[in-house]
Amino acid sequence: MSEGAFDPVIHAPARLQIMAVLAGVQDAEFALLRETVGVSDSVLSKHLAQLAEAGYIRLRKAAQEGRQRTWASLTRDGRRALVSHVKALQTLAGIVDKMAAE
Amino acid sequence: MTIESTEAAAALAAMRQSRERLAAAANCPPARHLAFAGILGGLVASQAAPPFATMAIEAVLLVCVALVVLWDRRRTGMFINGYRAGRTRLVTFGMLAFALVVLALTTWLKETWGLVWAPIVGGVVVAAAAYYGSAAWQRIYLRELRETP
Repeated sequence: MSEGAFDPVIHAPARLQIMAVLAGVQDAEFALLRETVGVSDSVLSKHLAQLAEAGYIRLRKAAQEGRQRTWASLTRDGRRALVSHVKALQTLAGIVDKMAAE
Repeated sequence: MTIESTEAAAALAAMRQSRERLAAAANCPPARHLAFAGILGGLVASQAAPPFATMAIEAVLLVCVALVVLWDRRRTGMFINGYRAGRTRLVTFGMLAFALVVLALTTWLKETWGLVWAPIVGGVVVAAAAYYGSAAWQRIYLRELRETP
């Protein structure tokens, strides 16, 4: 199994969580991401902008019940980067498991 | 960039927590399974109607699909593609294959033997299978969310 590669864009805990949530759905609305990641609106906006700038997520605005809402989805590059980053984390975390078992 | 192994373990744990919260938010009430079952069963049962009425019913069912998608988005704040990769895809294709087989069989019974009621019976059978298939799909999806990474 490849050991994966750390990605500085995804490394921030909130961004990693956003990516992990988006990997489980086709797209998710801003409020859902805020609840599942547990951050404020402004922090979430900042992280989403950084992920979109890196090409890892796609953002779109859609009107719903008379209000503009932001929807985010993972891009193919984003999914690839997430898988690689998680592999690297698992490799490192596996070292902790081994140490704990010894 | 270097990170400590304990930091990596903490990052993975935080990820799992988020996925757990997503699983809790991805609620799918019985009415949602019923809606899917009604659409799939309706597609089969519509073959019992005369050709023009069949087309009209199919058009209505297509509108219903769009409404269900809208309902999902409003209710949960997310959309999950039924054809998503993973073990759920087997359930999706299994349900569609079953519906197609029943559709072909009941249409043949109607056209060849004049059994006009056959597509209606087929529609009921497909709707029942789709209801349980939809519930199974949801269970597998939630398990996948909680198991990975």
